[in-house]
Amino acid sequence: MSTFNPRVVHELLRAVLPENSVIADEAGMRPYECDGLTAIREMPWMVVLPENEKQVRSVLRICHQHKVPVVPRGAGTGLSGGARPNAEGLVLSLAKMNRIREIDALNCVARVEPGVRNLAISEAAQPYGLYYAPDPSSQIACSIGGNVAENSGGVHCLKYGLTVHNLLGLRMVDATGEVIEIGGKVYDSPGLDLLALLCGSEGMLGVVTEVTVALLPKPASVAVMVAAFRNLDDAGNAVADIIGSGVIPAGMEMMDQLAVQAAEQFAHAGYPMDAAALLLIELDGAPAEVEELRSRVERVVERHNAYHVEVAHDTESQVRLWKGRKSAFPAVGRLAPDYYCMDGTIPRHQLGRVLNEIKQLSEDYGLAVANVFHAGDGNLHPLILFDANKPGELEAAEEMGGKILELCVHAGGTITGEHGVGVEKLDQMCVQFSALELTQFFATKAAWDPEGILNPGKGIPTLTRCGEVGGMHVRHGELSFPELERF
Amino acid sequence: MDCEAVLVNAIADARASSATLSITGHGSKAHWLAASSGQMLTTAEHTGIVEYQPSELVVTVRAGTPIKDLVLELAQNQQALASDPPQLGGLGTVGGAMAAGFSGPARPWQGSLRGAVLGTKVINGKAEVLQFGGQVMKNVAGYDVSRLMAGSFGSLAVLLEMSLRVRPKDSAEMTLVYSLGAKEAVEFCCATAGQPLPLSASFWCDGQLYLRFSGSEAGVKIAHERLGGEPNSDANLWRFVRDHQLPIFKAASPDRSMDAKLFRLVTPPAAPLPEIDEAQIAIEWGGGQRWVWHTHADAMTEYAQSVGGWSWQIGKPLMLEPAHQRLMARIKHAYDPDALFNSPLKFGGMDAH
Repeated sequence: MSTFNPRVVHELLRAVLPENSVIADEAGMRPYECDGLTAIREMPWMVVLPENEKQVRSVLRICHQHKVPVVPRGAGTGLSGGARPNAEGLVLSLAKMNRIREIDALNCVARVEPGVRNLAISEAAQPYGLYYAPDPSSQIACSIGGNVAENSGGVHCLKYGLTVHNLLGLRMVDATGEVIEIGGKVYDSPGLDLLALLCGSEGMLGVVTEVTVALLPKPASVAVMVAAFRNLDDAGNAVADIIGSGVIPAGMEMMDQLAVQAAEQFAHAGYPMDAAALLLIELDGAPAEVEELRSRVERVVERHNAYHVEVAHDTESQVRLWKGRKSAFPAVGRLAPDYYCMDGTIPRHQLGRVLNEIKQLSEDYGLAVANVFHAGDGNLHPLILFDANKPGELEAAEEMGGKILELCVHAGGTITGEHGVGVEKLDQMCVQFSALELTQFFATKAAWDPEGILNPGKGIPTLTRCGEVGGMHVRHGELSFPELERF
Repeated sequence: MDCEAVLVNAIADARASSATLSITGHGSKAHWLAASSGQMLTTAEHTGIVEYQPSELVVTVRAGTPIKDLVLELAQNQQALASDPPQLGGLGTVGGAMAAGFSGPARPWQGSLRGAVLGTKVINGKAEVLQFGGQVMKNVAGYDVSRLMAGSFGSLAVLLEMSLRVRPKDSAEMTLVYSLGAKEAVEFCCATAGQPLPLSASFWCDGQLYLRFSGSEAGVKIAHERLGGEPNSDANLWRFVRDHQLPIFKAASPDRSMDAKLFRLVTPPAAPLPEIDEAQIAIEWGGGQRWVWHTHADAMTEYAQSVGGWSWQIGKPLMLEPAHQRLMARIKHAYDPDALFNSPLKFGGMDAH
């Protein structure tokens, strides 16, 4: 699509950016060829790292005028290829914009640049007894700008919400280089909810240059509980009953047998190796409140035949219990040369059915699957084990992953709970949305970025693509565009 | 009753005859907004709970369902909406609450209806039925069109259904009262909001600060021990605050200028108060929402902007910044290309009527 003159654009960019903010040599650009989804790589035409909003504006004005594709990038920890470069375009890294502008303890907000790491916000707020609640597993590395782009969650989002619930304001530069300020240290803003549209928009609507987030008081005390079950159904029913009994845990995670065994061997968390399913539950609040919740939860898990329960009140034991869950991915990674992580969300009551069907797919494809589940919010991470060196296994894993996501949609869920669509799940978007809905997404995009220079080709599949993959969504038996041929 | 087909036909007919439509529920908020012209299209008959599974913490409901009815249904399962929008005399519909995006006194602590929206089914200006989001809490497939509908005042689409997050009802609740001036009340709220206490609502009016704490028995008890204050026994207080039934929200008052208008000021919670008679102010959201009677709109706009907030004169159109107006007009065009929906939310330019 791009027809710009590279020499001219290069010179224009050099003129508005410091010398070390423009990278055009292959070795320098190599770290940018992929994000956390390392299977999908592409070398960009160029990488730029502006140091402030003014430079971001200048870059976008130039790119708008010359129609240069721009791929915004935070810390590059994304798992769906949202920051995969465009061979004919720029990677616009916000990594150098990493200043914490303000911790306003009186209003319980932080105002930061987009390159600030998620965890750095909580660290800066700690002296005031405050913290930033969303905590994606990559929080030591991922940036707040990237969190906004992906609407990141974390293990505590059941109780404390996603990025969209904790975001109060943004400054952004649009595709033409204009600054738009949205919200602030306020609970709502007049007019259409631009903040909601930007949150999770995967860098396709604008480039965030400043973020204002709400800070919460740190809970006075925390208890972490592990409960082991002899079958998955008991664990699933316990989850439904805990929530049904009126308890919203700060976090509630489930692992299946393969995941438990891998995690235990890796982290020595003290999980029973023979558990068919394990629940990890975090409760927080005032000490007496946590005690009240603990006894309620304990009664529920025992009613559902938990045969091993451990409660940790001290930080050291809590860290140990969490360590198993937090190292589940690398632990499973030791079971096979490669694994492919899926990210579907399902209504919780469909868990049994979905896990059984995943088991069937696992047998059909001959690929083992370990399941890690944010049980509180229904976000399922099946990890498909394979060996990329064996011919056809990567393709089989990808195909099976696609089927798992379609299964999630048919169970009333979604193809992505927190990792985003990026380039990875474009085909499954055709299953989740009708042609009319996809067309509405494109119209939404065009309202912000009429020339389509921001992160082109990501997030929303073209109707042509959906036609080609043959996965077109059919609702109520009505085929969209029945006049088109299907191959 | 399912009126989806009727509503789709009405929109298709209006489109064919180049008529404009003004979408309403029960009209419970009509006096809040500048009237919009156009043929009325009401969703009030499109009622009913489509799906509700308490253990999933989600309810899917048709737009015309009165909030009152939904709240009653949820209460039977010891649950509540994960926000407390005004019910305005019991007539307010879920669709109306969503279209207006108004939030009750629990907003800073229990969230907004916008925050609780998980999915929507809508009819856009081309009479197309579209579904976004879903019934699960975590969902990042596609743009968050569902939340875009919150506060859109019928400018983009007709809301048919929405899936909303619900939460367990709190097992304990206590309201504590403190005699404080407005300035001291805001300071006290800000200091309290920074502590790990189960604060769930605040209201200041007429020299009294009311703080509500909700949660477990133990959590509420700790708040009382730590903060002191007199327990308040008025069971209707928070309903009256939420539904604007207190005298401060009523135009007629002996100590108020005949020319005074009601303004909603949304500000950073700790922002200094406007320098006016305290008897003309009510404060919610720990300081983040202030209701003020004043004679001059310009003075209120200037004050709100000076503290990083915004101001809205009740009954008048919302004032939007030019950059926002341009962008919002383009978004409206994306959903309603023929400008069929005539909303009280005006973006100027191509949306002009």
